Amino acid sequence: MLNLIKKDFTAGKIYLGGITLGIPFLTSIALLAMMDDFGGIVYGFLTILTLLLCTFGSLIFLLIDSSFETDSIFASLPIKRDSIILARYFSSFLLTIFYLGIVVITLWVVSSLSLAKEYESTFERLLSFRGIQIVFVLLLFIQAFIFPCIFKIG
Amino acid sequence: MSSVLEIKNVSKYYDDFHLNNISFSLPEGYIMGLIGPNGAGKTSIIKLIMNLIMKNSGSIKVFGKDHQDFEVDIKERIGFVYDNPNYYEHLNLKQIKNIIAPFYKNWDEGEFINLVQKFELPLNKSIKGFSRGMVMKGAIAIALSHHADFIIMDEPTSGLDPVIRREFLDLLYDLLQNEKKSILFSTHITSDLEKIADYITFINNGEMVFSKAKDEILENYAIVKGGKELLNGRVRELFQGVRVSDIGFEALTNNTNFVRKELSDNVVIEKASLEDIMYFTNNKNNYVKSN
Repeated sequence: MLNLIKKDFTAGKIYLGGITLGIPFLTSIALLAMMDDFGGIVYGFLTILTLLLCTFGSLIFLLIDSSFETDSIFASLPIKRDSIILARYFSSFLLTIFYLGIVVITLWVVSSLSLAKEYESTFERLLSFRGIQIVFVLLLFIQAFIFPCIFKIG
Repeated sequence: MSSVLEIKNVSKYYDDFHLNNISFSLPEGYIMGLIGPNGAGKTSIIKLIMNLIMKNSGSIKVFGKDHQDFEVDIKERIGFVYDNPNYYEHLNLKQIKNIIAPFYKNWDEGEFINLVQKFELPLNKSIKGFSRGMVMKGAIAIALSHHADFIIMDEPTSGLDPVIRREFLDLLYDLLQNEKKSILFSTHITSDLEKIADYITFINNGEMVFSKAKDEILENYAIVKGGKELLNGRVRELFQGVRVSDIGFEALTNNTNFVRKELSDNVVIEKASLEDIMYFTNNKNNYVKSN
């Protein structure tokens, strides 16, 4: 299982670099664009943006394997089918934590900038442990449904 | 003699293609060629053996064990080469090896390096820059680096140009001379097998035509050439397939001795190649006319 997870990260590392850079960029732009009109909807919008970024980002391993059609190679190796499926969940789960971490760090960096001082309390709410927990649980739910659907269709 | 592979009455049904009641076995330490035209079912058989697709009926045993119940143990001892190995194209051969090697308990790094040097493959060039021949050689190097007892190759020579194909076969032949491995090798290029195969299994349109020792096949089958006037109903029944032209007929028989006794004065009998056998059997029910 560990070898399969390592395989995902080895095969995906150049693509991960792009996404890792893209997430803080998109999060910052979205945040700065909404600063004049802070309100309830902003939290919602930012949550949805985070969910979308993390969900699509976590599919990267699946997309890489599909585009190179490498599944057949791994199906011919001495690995249990269950391990292949479980490893795919674990890799994406690890990636989701990583992306969520990037979003949180981005929010923290933007909140630390002097130009956003007047929105300090808003950032505190955005960066609250509860807020992050909710997003994380939502992400796990999305993944729990999206992977069986993709495996079924694929 | 124990069998490395035993397939009994295996069937697989697709919407537009059926693989019907396939049975054959491969004794340990021998090379078997799986031949048949494109779309005959060769790849399906190999996928069934590797448990990449599910059979509808029958049994498959590899090393005497059920191929599904002991899938991981069996695959540990199999070196498998796809007809079109799909590797991550942005990675190089060393990275691909680093991904695959940990899955095998018996991975031999020294053997891999030997093969890479023998095949003159670059370790640090991305797969994207490899020719098809280089990709196939890379796949062979990976398949032979964990001391597999049974090598399965699905059309490894298709799509290779003649020079690379010959080079590839020579390398394969040299490698196999020194070791006692069992090999199943599917191809529609029958000349590849004339040199290296011990057994031939011929599949046509999802049905098994025969599975026999190569020498026995080449001994029993022959090409018969003669005038058109000879081709009456009784004579026609002696042949597996007939090709008629303005100057005469050319036919395949699997009963050379009988044909020689019956028609020897009127016909020319020549040795049949595997390609002849495949061609005429494929057109068994047709009276092929040539102008």
